[in-house]
Amino acid sequence: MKSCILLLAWLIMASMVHAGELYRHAGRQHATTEAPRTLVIHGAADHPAVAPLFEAFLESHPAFEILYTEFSTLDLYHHFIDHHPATPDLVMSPAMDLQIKLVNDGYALPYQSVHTEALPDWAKWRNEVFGFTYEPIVIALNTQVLQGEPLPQSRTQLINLIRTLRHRFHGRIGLLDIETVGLGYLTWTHDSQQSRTYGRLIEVFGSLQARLYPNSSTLLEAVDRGEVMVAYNVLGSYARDWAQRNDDLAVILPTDYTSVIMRSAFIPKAASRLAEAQLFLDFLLSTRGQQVLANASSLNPIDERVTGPNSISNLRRSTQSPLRPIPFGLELLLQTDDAKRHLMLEEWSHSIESSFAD
Amino acid sequence: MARGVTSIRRQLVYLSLLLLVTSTLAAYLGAKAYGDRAARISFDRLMLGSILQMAESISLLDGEVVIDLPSSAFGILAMAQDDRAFYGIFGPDNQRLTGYDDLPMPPSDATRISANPDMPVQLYYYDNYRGERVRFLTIRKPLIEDDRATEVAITVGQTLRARQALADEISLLVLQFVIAFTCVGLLLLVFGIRKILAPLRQLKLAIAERSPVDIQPLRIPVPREIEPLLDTINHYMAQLDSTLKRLERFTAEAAHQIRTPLAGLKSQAENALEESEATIRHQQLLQVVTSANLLANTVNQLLNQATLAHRFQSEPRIWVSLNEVVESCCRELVVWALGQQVEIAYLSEGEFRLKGDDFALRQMLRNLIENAVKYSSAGDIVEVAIEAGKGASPGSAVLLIRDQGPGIPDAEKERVFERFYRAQDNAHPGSGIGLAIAREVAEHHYARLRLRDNVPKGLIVEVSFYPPTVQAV
Repeated sequence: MKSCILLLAWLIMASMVHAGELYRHAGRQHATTEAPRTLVIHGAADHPAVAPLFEAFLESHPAFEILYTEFSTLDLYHHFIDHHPATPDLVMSPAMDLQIKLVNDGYALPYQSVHTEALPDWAKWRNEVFGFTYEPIVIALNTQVLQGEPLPQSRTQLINLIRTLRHRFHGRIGLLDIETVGLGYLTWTHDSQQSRTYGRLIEVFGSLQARLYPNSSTLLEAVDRGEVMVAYNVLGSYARDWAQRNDDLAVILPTDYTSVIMRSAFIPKAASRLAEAQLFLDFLLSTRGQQVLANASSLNPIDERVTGPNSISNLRRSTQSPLRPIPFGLELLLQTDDAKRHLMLEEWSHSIESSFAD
Repeated sequence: MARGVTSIRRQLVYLSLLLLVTSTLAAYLGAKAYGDRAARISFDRLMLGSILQMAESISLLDGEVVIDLPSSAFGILAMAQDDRAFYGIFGPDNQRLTGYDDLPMPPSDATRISANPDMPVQLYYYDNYRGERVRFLTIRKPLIEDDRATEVAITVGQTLRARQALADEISLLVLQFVIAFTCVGLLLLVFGIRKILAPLRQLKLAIAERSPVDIQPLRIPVPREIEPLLDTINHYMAQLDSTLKRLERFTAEAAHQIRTPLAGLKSQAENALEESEATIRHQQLLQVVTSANLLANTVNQLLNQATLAHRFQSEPRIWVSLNEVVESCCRELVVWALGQQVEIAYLSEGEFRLKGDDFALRQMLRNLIENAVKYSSAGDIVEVAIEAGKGASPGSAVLLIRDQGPGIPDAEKERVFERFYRAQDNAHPGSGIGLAIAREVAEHHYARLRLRDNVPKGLIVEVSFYPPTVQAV
C-alpha cells in the first residue's frame, strides 16, 4: 500500500515538470548579421560547466545564438516527452538510461560525420546518440571527519569508517534523491547490479538517516559547508571542481570499482534546425570542442587524444581504481522499466526514507 | 530453314553456360533464402532466451504480480548491437504491468511454435512499430500462488538490422563461393570442350595432311562417338578406290577393245593397198567398211554409256508412259528386224507409267531388242510384252523380251552383264556393252533385270519395275 502511494507521488512529481532555467549566448555578429542562426539546446549540465563550450563555438560561428535551458535529468526527459513534437535541436544529458530510452522509442535522428565516426563504438548507439564526456562517479568526503583515521579508498573501507565513527556520520551522509534525480537513480541501480556491498550500503545509509539532495551541486555544497561529511555517488567532474577550492574536501575513486557515466547528446527527429544542431554536435565531438571541455570546463572529455587534468589519459594514470563504464546501449532499458523502478524505490524508501520516521 | 552452319563448340559452350548460369542463380537464391532463414532462427532464439528470462522473473506475491526483470534479459537483446528493442508485460485484461503499452497484438496468422510441453507457446510476428519493421514474440505465462491463479502475456520486439546484416553476410559468403565456383566451372568448361573436340580437329588435320591420291583408310585413334564418322569416311574412300579402279580397268579395256579392231582395220587396209586384183581388193575394202562400222558401233555404245551416266546425275526424273516408249521402240526397229527376217511382236497387258528417264529407257529397250533379233534365226519372232506383276509384288510392271535364239547357258547369265564380256563361242559381232548399259538403266529405275530360259529354247529378258517408280494408269 505504501509503495502505491509512493509511486503515485512520483507520478505526480513527474507530471509537474519544472520549466527549467533559460540561458542565452549570442555570437558577436548575431545582432548585426543578415542571417542570424539560432540553436536550442536542452541539457542537464550545470550552466557554468557548459558555458565555455558555447562561447568557444560562438567564437568560430559568430552569427549564432544558443538558447540553453537547464533541467534536472528527469525533468529534461519528461519535458521532452510532454512537449513532443515541439523539441529542442539538441538534447544533452548524463542520464544515459533516459537518453537510450528516448532513442529506443524512435525520437532521435541518425547522424554520421568524421567526428561521430571517430568515437569508439561503446560511446555511441545506432549513430543516433553520442557520448561526449567520460565522468567517474566518486565519493566526496570532508576530511575533517576523519580525525586521524585513514582516508577510505573503497566502499568497504567507507562502510567500516562510518560504522567506526557512527555518531559523526549520523544524519551527515548525503545522497542524491533517486526519486527525483535521474543520475542518482542510474548510479544507484548500477551499484545494485555491480556490488556485493550494495546491501550493506543501503543498510548503513538508512540506519544513519542519510540526507537526500536534488542534484550534485547542492550535495557538494553541503559537503563543502560541512552539513554532510560524505557524499556518495556524485559526479567526479563537479567534485574535483569543489575540491580545488576546499582543501578539506577529498575525492575518492573507489578501488573496488569506479562507475563511469557518459554525457550524451542526440538530435531529435522533430528538430527544426538540423543543420545548426549537426554543426554544434560536430564541434562538441571535435578535438577542439573536447579540448575546450578539458581546459575551460570541469567536464571530462571522451576524446582520448585530448590532454589536460580532466582528460581520460590523466584520469587513468591518476588512479588504480578499475573504471567500470555503465554500458551505453540497450541494457539501460532495464533502468527505465517501471516495475524495476517501483521495486528500487520501494526498497529505497523502506530503508532510507523510513529512517526519518524513526 | 535453320542456320546453314552450326558449331558444335558454340552449342556446347552455350548449353554449358546456360546450365552454369542457371545453377549459379539457383544456388544464389537458395543461399539467400537460407541466409534469411538462418538469421531469422538465430535472432528468434535470442528473443526467446530473453523472454524466458523475463518470464522467470515474474511471480505472484500476495495476489499481486511482482516483476523484477533481470539485466541479462536486456543483455541478450543488446547482442543485436544496433537494434532497438521493445517489451511489454500485460495482465489478464491486457492492462499494462510494465514496458511499452502500445505494442501490437499478435495477428491471427502469427507463426505459432509449441515445441514441447515444458515450453510456452511462442507467437512470432512482424509489424511496423515506432517507425521501423519489428519482429515480435509473445508468450503467455500462468502464475499460480496457493489457490490464486492468473496469467500474464509477455511481448518482446526487436528491429531487423542485425538479422539483415547476418542474412547479408551469409549470402555474401555464399555468393563469393558461387562466383569462385562459376569461374572454376567456366575454366573447366573451356578446357573440357577443347579436349572433347580435339579428336575432330586431329581428324581434320589427318585428312588435310594427306596427298590427294592417297585413299588408304585413315588409322587414327578416335573416341567411340566419332568412330562411325571415321568408318563412313573410310567406307567412302574405299568406294572411291573401287570406282577409280573400275574406271582404270574400263579405260584399259576400252583402249584394248578399240586397239584390236583398229589393228585389224589397218592390216586389212594395207592388204587392200597391196592387192592388184580388183575384185579381191573390192572384197577387202568391203571388209574394211564392215570393221569400221563395228568400231563405230563400239565407240557409239561407249559414248551412250557416258551420256547415260551424265544424264542419271543431272536429269530430273519425270513421268513417262512405259507403253509408249516400248511401242515406239518396236516400231523403229521392226523394219530393221524384217531385214534380218525376224518379226517383232508387241503385246501389252495394262497401261503403266514410270518415273524415270525417257532417253535411257529407249536405250535399254533398243539394246535388248537388237540383241534378241541378232541372235534369232530367220523366221523367228521376238516377242516384246508388258505385263502386270503377279504374286508377291502387286502394282509392279514386268517388261519381257522373248526370243527363240540359242539362249545363254546358266553359267554365263551373270557374266554377260560385265562390260566387254563376250562368250568364247559367240560368232556375232558386238561391243559387249549393250547388256551392261541395260542393267545400268534398270538399276537407275530401281528395276530388276533377270535372264531366263525360254521354252523350248531361247532367252527371256525380264525387267521388273516396282512401285512407287511404276504406276498403273
